[in-house]
Amino acid sequence: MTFLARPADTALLRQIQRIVTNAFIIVGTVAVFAYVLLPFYWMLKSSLQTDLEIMKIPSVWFPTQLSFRSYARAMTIIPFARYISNSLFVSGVTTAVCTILASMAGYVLARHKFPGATVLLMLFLFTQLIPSITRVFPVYFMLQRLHLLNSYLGLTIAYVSFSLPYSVLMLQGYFRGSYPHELEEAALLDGCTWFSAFMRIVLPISIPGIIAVATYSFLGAWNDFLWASLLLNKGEMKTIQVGLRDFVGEFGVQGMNNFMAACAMTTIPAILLYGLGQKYIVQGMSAGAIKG
Amino acid sequence: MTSKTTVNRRHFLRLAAVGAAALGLAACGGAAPTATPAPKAAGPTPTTAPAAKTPVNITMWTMNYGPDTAVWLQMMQDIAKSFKDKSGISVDVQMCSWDVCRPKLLLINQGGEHPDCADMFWLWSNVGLGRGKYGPMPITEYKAELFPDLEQRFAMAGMQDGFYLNEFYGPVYRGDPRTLMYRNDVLQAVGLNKSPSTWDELTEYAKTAQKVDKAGNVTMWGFEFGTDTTKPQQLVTYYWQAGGEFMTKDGKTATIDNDQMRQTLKWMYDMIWTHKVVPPDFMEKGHAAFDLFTGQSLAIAGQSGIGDCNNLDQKFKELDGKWTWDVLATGPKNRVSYYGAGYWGVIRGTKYPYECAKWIAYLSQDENLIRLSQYGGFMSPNKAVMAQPFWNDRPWKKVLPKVMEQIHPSQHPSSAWSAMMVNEPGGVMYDFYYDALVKKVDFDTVIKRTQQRMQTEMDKAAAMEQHNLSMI
Amino acid sequence: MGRNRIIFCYLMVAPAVILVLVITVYPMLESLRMSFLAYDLMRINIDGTPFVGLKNFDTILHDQRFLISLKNTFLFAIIVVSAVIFLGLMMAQLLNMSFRGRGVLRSLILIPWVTPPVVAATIWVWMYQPERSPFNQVLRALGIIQTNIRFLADTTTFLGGISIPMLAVSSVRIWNGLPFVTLMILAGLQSIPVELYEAAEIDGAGALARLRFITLPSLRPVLAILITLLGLGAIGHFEVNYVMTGGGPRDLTSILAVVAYRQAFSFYRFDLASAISTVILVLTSLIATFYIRSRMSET
Repeated sequence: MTFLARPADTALLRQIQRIVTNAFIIVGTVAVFAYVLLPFYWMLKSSLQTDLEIMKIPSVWFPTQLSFRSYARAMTIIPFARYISNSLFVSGVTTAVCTILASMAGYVLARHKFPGATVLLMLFLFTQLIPSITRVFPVYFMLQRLHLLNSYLGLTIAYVSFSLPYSVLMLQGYFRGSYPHELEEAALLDGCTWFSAFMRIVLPISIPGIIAVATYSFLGAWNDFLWASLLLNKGEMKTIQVGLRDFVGEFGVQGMNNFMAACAMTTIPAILLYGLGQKYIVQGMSAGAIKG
Repeated sequence: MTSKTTVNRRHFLRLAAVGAAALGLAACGGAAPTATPAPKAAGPTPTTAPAAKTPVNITMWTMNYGPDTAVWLQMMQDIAKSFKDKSGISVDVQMCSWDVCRPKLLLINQGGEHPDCADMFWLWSNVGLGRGKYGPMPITEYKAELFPDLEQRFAMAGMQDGFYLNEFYGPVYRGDPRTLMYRNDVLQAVGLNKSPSTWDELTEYAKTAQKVDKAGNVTMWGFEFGTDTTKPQQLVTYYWQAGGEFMTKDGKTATIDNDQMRQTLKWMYDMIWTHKVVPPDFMEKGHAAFDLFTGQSLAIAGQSGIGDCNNLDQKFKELDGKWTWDVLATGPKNRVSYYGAGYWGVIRGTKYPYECAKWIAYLSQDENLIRLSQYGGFMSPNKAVMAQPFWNDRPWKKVLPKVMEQIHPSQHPSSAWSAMMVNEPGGVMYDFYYDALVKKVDFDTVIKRTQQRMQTEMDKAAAMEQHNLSMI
Repeated sequence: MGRNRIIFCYLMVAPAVILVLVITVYPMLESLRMSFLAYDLMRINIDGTPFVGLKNFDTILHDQRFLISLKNTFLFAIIVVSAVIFLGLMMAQLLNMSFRGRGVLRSLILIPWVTPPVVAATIWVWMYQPERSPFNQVLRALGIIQTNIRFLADTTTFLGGISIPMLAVSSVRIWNGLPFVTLMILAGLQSIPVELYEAAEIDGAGALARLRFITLPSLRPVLAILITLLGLGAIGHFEVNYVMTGGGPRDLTSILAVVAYRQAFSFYRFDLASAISTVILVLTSLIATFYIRSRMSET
């Protein structure tokens, strides 16, 4: 490679390298984002087409006419607004309760060495691994005995307990690393109790971690189908995931465009919400994940 | 500092109170009545209601039918309201979508939560599973009083799904025969101007109508065995048409090891692999023949249901006039149609079996059935319904009487049948057809293996039935 | 430790612990118990639910379908976890660089996470239908293939069990997991001091070298956590495989959780379903114990 020893040529080579690398990066990025976004696009475009156009072979990529009628229809075919508010309610309460309980537990597990702390930590670590599928029958009958079936309370309890292990661990990691011990000790010296130190000092600093946990538990509850379909499917109390299945008649989906419109209306608000909060989510996960 | 401490503990307590209140609200929300409050009991004194002083409330689940779930539910609730005016019994009708209903029925049979009565199916298996303690409840004792003219108003051939072991469980209100559907324009374009009427003609028509592009991709499939997404259901019909039965009339012995089965399997096998007119993926989960039909890549669907026709009428108007519904092609012995059914029945554990039976009798009155079947788009064994102009206003509907001349009920005398028909790998019938027609296992092997499996399941079910009978 | 402090700790941790014990641990034990009983709904009133020892395990270990699903579960886990981490690493690196519109891209990448798995699976099934698939359209237009790929029905296998349907279903599971992994790795990247990279660049290290010697080692803890969590999730996964293919064709996409669910809700064999769940439990316990031990040793 002696002919490239001259500085000018080395610079040229490096420029070419950079262009090629950038080209790869751009192509790769476009490919990945196409992969990420294609189904979403497909859902949106189908919601604007007629059933005939959706079924056409080969597929029609761009709707020939933009018709939003399927959105209106979707809202009347099933009690859409009611289902969405049910989901919001259940997911919201789940998030609130899970976040509160997880911060309480995560905090003491992170900052205080008390007898049994290690065992409890291991309990949470261990319970993370149990796949939902194995718990279905026992949980159903347990809730039935407690008369908590088809009640928001029953489903919420189930959702909270599913999200707790990961949330506790995440917040535990977060609390451990995100601020120096001196802060609490200073507060104690000032005469605060442990509770008030927790409330006044720890929580306000931990907003990103809490948002990360809140995101996780909200989505876990919002997206769930298996449990909601078994534990809460009485008429108007259904969550939206179960409600979406109302579209599926005996012979399959009746009205694919309406169904796609309903799916779109289910996912778009969540996307907007998390788009706004993504900065905090990354921050929260960062502290929680690494130091944990 | 102390004052600040107190304030902060209060903050925390307030937060906890909010959380507790939220959970409390959730608990209350669950117990509160659903959106449509039942109107206060008023109106004329009921004529035949029982002498109970306290108002009776019963719950009912229904699946969804027709284009709009909300409209269907509203119709049922309207009928409930007029029932309440007449009898003083209030009925809370709730929706349970098809998807969710199978596991729910299973859980009911195990003593899980249940309504007083429901829109049901698979009576025979559920009776077996319920062990006489849970699940479907016979209402034979009320039949004479509440259903005096059942035999006159209904075509009893279509009512078998509501009877079991000499007990009456409820009236079959919807029937679902399957019959032939094809693209008449596609067939005419290749010179075929009438419906295929034998299996040989099906083969010939399918081969002629099939189109393949240069690269070997099929752009028009000739044939699919049926549009039902529950695959075994559409495959059993062909054996019946060859004159075969899956079991003896007493439900005790499996009877598939014979020439008729081999003949049927051979024809089906040839359609897929020799003539190559059937998509080889036809049994896979994501494969829906009806989607191919509406995607205009399928010429003939061997069986399709009323739901498909309604769907085409409402959502695919561009295809109007291009498709035809007709009687099935005749097999070696007959052209029976697969006939599925649903009934309304009472569930064990209810405190009000008489009131439920009364409600069901009211629902099954001619006027109500006419309304429901018109919107839901399903056929009914009820004679008044089928005489309606609504059931004669489209060319495909006129075919129904001819179809109903030769039907074969989907239920079988053994309560193991429904379990055997499960549409999943591992189901007896699913494995049978999958092994023979997709995995291409030798017919003799598959038939013998399946006969054994069927017999085991049927023996199991028979033993349970004996046990149940001894408990009644 | 002061007594007040200890009481405070227990009070704070109690609600979470109680909930987890009741809703998670108890059902797990109950399910474990059921795997040693006979629990066939079709025979229950004749035979009851007697103790049968290891009979259920014997049955499933001799069932071809179970063994195939066991193998597939591992194959899926390997494919999904390695692909999602590879892609996540790529995306996280990209989203860590500063450029205009980064926030928008970061929001877009969240889409698969907020899409419910059942909805996503339904759409992907639609897009993988051979005749209608946009992928087939594009591939044919580019001349790469002539005949449509049957994404969910092609039964050719290679490398001892991998098939096109397996790859297709994996692509959806990867799709679902990508946002979470990307964000986790991104969080990890942000804690790597910039000075390390600057020093390396001065020393003349190229992009690849920087990746090998700085990025990956610094990310080791995050990646360890991720691989463990993803692996655990993969072993117990249910929804995507069930909705998309139900385990077919020919059990090529059949996994443990699907087989268990089917045994319970289609064939009423809760004994076999519980036995399979126990297998899932044992496998995940092994991984989890390993993971817990390594985390404990770090603290």
